[in-house]
Amino acid sequence: MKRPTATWTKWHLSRAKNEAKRRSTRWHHGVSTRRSGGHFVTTWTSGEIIKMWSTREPHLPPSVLCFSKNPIETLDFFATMRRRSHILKGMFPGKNPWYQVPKSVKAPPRMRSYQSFAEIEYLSTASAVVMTAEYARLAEISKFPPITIDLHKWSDVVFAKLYELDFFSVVGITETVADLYAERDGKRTMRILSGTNNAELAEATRRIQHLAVEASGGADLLGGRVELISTALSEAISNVARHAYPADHDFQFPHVGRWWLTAEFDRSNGMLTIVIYDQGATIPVTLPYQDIWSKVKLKVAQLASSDPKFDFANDGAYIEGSLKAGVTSTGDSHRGKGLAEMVGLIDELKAGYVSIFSRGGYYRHDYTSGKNSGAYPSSIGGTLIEWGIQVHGANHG
Amino acid sequence: MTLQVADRFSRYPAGRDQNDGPFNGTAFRTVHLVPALNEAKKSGRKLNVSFEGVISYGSSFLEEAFGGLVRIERFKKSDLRKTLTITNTSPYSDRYERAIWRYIDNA
Repeated sequence: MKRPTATWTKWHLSRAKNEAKRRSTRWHHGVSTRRSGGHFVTTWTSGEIIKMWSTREPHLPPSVLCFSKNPIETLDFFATMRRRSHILKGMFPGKNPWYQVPKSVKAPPRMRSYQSFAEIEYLSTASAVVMTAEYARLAEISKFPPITIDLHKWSDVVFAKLYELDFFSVVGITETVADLYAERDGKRTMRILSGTNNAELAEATRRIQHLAVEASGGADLLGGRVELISTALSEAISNVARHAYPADHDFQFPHVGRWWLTAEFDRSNGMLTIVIYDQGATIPVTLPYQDIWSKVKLKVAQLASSDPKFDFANDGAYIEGSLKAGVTSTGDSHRGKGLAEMVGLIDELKAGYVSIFSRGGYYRHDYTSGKNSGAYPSSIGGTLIEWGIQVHGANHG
Repeated sequence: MTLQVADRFSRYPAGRDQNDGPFNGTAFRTVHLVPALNEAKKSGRKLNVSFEGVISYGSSFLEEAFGGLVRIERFKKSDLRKTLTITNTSPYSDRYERAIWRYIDNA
């Protein structure tokens, strides 16, 4: 197939959007009723737009993909995505795992099931990071670029967020989608950054600074606080480098040993949200093996339930215990390890929050509404930290 | 005698050793800090470690770099008190300086 020109691409995208609108009243999510489950989809991959035949119904995400607003369905969606992945199971080694090219030139390429993003109405930044990390892992393990499905059906808000995050670089179609991007009112997301240790700390700090300046129209809203942010990030990244991917741990899914980081600035409320995610062994698994375990073991035992109702029921207790460890290891909450440093800044600014998900557990420290922790039956597949820093009042600059 | 961390090493030092990244506490201590302290001692001068321009002050880096002077390099705490000074223009300079001396005292 020839590489499409920009004009050709634009015309086809416009036509596909109009076709989708016409069919939406007669079709259910574009699925043909002639064959059970089987239907055509439009795929974008490495600069090509190809119509393919999907043999199965798509794996549908919840309409609200957010760990705060809809934690159970969101966690379950990502856990199912990992469990069903033939790439993570090691299937089709050396072959394109995304679709099969048939021997007949008349038949379309065939693919198995896929995740349909067309159903997503709200996508949180944290969910976008986890999704990007999952696709990045699949791309790295399979050595084939992932494909995106029915891009023309994605909501504008979801598309804009993933575009700003640089999700499309992961799937190799940045040039094709550039024309579809329009900046969202009041919000701006940083291009996602990934690394294995603090070698990328300088770039991470610069991108966050740049985001705040650009989103505010040129004002240096962070000022000296950029030091506190960079310091906390350096500790959080060191935690990943040292503890997240132990060589002797039996991982359920293969990993690529990385962390992913992004940030979003919301001009309407002056909130800078930093998200960092890893696909590591998780805090509940690694904490008992760290030097600080002897200092926090009792605290974790006090918080944990003696009659856990499901596998991850006490994971929240481990997360809360790890925060106490960051404080006790230095005796000063401002100088504790990464998580404790983040909490320390929230308390110092008297605004903001830190939210941590690790395996099935969560812990949230919100300056306004207080602290709470708990757990869900599904794992987030690693550790996710969301750090909300109130940079200024609403609609400043 | 002054050792400028940002100019000679990095504006974003972080972590303890190579596993944490290239600009780690062990590298700073062994390549820059210990030689500078030895030279200062030899010439009878004080060593001023300046953090001007540094952005990241991770506790792992500071403890490994400065606590490591006592813990690993076997410098005496009393000698460091006489030879070493810390300067910074950061709005948070006091807390970083306190932390460094705490790591030296607790090593």
